[in-house]
Amino acid sequence: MTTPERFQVDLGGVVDLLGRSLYSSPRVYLRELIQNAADAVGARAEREPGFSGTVRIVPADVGDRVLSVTDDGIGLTAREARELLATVGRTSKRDLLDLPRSDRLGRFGVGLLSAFMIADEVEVRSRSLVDAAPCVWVGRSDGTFTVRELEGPEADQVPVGSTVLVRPRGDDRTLAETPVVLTAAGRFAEHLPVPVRVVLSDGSEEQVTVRAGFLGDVEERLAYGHELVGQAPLAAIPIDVPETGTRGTAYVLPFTPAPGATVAVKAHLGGMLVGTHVDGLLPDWAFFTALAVDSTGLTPTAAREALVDDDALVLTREAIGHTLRGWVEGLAVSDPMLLRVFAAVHGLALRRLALADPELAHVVIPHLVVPTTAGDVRLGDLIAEGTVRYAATVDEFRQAGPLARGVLVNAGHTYDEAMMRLLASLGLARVERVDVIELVDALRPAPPEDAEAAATLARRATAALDDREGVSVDVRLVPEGTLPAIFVQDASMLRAADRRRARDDGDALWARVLDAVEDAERRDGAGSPQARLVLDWSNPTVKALARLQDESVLTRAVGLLLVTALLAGHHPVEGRDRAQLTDALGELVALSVGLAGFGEMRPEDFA
Amino acid sequence: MTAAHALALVRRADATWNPEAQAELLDSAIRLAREADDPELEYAARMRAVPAAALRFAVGDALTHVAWCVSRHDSENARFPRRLPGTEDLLYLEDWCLRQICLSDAVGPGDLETLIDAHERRLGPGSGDHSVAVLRALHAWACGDLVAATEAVRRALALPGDAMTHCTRCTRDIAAQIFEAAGDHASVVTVCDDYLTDPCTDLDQPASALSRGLFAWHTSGRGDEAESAYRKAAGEAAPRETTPEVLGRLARFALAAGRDDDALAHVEAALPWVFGPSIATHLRLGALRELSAALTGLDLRGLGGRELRAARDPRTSPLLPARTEGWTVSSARPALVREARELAARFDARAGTMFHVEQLERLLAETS
Repeated sequence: MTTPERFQVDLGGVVDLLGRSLYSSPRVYLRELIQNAADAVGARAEREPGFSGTVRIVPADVGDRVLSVTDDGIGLTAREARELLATVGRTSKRDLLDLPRSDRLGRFGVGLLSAFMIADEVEVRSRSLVDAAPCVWVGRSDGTFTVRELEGPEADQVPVGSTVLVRPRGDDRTLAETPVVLTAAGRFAEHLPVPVRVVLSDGSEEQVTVRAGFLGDVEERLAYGHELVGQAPLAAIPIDVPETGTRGTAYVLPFTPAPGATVAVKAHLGGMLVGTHVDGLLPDWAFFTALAVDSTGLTPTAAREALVDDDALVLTREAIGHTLRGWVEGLAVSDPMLLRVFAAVHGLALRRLALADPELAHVVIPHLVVPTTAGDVRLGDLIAEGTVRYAATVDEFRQAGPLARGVLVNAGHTYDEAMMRLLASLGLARVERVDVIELVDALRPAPPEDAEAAATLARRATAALDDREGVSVDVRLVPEGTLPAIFVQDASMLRAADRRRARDDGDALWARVLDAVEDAERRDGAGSPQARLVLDWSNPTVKALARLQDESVLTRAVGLLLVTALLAGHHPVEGRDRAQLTDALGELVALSVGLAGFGEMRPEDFA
Repeated sequence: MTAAHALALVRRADATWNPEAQAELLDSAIRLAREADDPELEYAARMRAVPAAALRFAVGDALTHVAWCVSRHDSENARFPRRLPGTEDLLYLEDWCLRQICLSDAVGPGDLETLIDAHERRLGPGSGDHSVAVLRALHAWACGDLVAATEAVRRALALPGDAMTHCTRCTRDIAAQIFEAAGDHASVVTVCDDYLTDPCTDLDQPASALSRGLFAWHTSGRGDEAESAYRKAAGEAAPRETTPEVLGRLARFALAAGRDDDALAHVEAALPWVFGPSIATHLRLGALRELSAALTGLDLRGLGGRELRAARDPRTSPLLPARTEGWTVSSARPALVREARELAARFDARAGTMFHVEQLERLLAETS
């Protein structure tokens, strides 16, 4: 029979692993020592109800090159020190000290081990609360340790509790000196229930623990949120998840977070900081909130710098999500003005929320603001009209805007087209997507008495734009038109034009492939791409054009109208368009010079 | 100034996750780059526009950009390299485009051969062997040459993937389709078993690959596994252009198992998703073949009078035109069968075979 053998673990290697792979920074050794001390105080309080202990830290620059962390907690006997301090990988303290499972216990062994990241030797002097001799445990980074019971006067000097003494290596001395100790202890142990004090060089003490504002009254919560977010939050929403002992506050950001920006999610376990950007606590749609919580029921990862993604975390996340949804829902009744502000600041998050939660959508949608031809308008106001009309892309909106009757929504931004479809599917309004070419077709023609002149102008102008592939000219009455001409094209026109250019630039084989695409689209009934120049018959310039007899002047004038319409509609302008504009300007100047009689230069010189 | 604006648009597109918005930004960047006469910038924008088009399944747009980029690369490969910072490899993008047109009846077989040969030359020896073998298999299958398709896909299965490979798991999906067409059920079972041990996570790919094995597993006496795969595939069919074919196959399987209502539900679920770009005619052929067979089965089971509610609105059910009296199983069946036959004949006409027509007729006969 083969005898099972034990793994040989090299302590130096383990310490190196901790420093390089487990912990994000060597300064977490202090967090681990404070956690051990706080746990010991907690254990004593279990035995002696009403006991409130203290953790005192003497930095290395104050304490003769040795950092010490002293607690007046439950202490250790020599036997316990032997078993606990050199044991890694067993939740021994919980069993030995018989503490309730809800208490977030440090693991003495691993916790103490982290001190070897900055020192080669760690000493623990301890006296147990139970009647036993005090002891000294000395561990070394080579993996050896000694335990000695103290006697006589030496023993008399050791009070109940423990002191951990760490003599940092030369390179790591700053990690144990006052500035780092104050900062790190203040950061990690800020909200520990056990007071933590740092002894300063003048003998005074600075307490680094403070009451957790995010668990306080309304004023305290808001003040904490202001500091966390950097500005006064729009709202502070209390969070309470009794199932996992998680309490805190969610803060509604008063600004729209930049895409990809990380929002503060500060989590504590039993008052000890886990991290300031902890994943998994907030639902992914809740990117409008920052969060600060303390929990007794969530599980930290081995490094205690994140939370384990287990059932407790899922339950907590869902409960927080439920609370946030309830808050949004309740706002509609309790504070509609705040909901309006909230919708304006966090429109994107709310759209996403509404799409994922149809019930909430009914509450949220009326308060969302969308860009329209009448400026930013609340969807609730549009819904009240009965019909909501929208352009699906920014490009279509730019083109359709001047032609549309009534208010037209620009649904080209993120989630807005989906919101339009949601409006329809929820039956909140009749929703119509506009098509620019259809809008042109729906415009009224010129009055009967001008019909013939308008039709002739359309025909002559179309011929004038013969070199513009696929562009036809319509003469219509544009309501409230301010421009003589408007250019519209369907989305496929731009892509078809691009395909033609790619075909012309490429080799014959790929050109045949692109032709095949075009043929397939035509066969599929996608229809030919269309582009129209719409001349507004109510505009005097257009009426004047109809009276022009000179075809060359008409050709130039129509070309110019096309360029101005392209510019007004934010369409791309090609080189020939710019040349046409420049030529026209030159001709205008030349004409002016000629008329004034100064004229060596005449219009025909520029022809 | 114009070039700077174009560059800013490219950068904005890089930071945009929505493919529609990305495409709009890149279209504008391309136009501005042309205006500024800056081909390098245009190249950078078009290289980015291909994945944006692929994500929207806008095959025509992707082809436009790839055609332009490949021409530039072929003429000056130092100035227009295969890969730019922040872009995919041009030949990886070309491979995606070739996959789409290999399965379309719109491009001539000779042109496709030449395009694949040129693609292989650009890749050079030792690179992209798996993906080229897949291309040749798809092309041969679409041309009805089952022998060549089987040989090519077996070669692909034996080759490891590399940086040019889109997904070796999807190759098994393609292989199952070819083996099934060849009546080689043992090979279908093998590749589908392989697939199960290492499935793909891409949207509806699992549903597609799982559905390929349904009948082969069942025929080989592994009914429980077929049933389990059916349930999994039914749960994973995502709303995409490739879904109607998958749902049609699930409908046929449900019919074979005597679950007529489930079959009808699969057909109903498939109808709104029969879109796809015009050039991707294989999607339409696959959907028509499976759905017409499923409708035939339903009709013969006496469900001809059942209304197809999903076909009420022609805007969301483009396979069937609008009609005032609505569509039932028995009225939709001949319409879809006719369209399937026409498209299958169009595919066959390219290479002078009867492969696709015979495949369709066999399926219709099986369901009857």
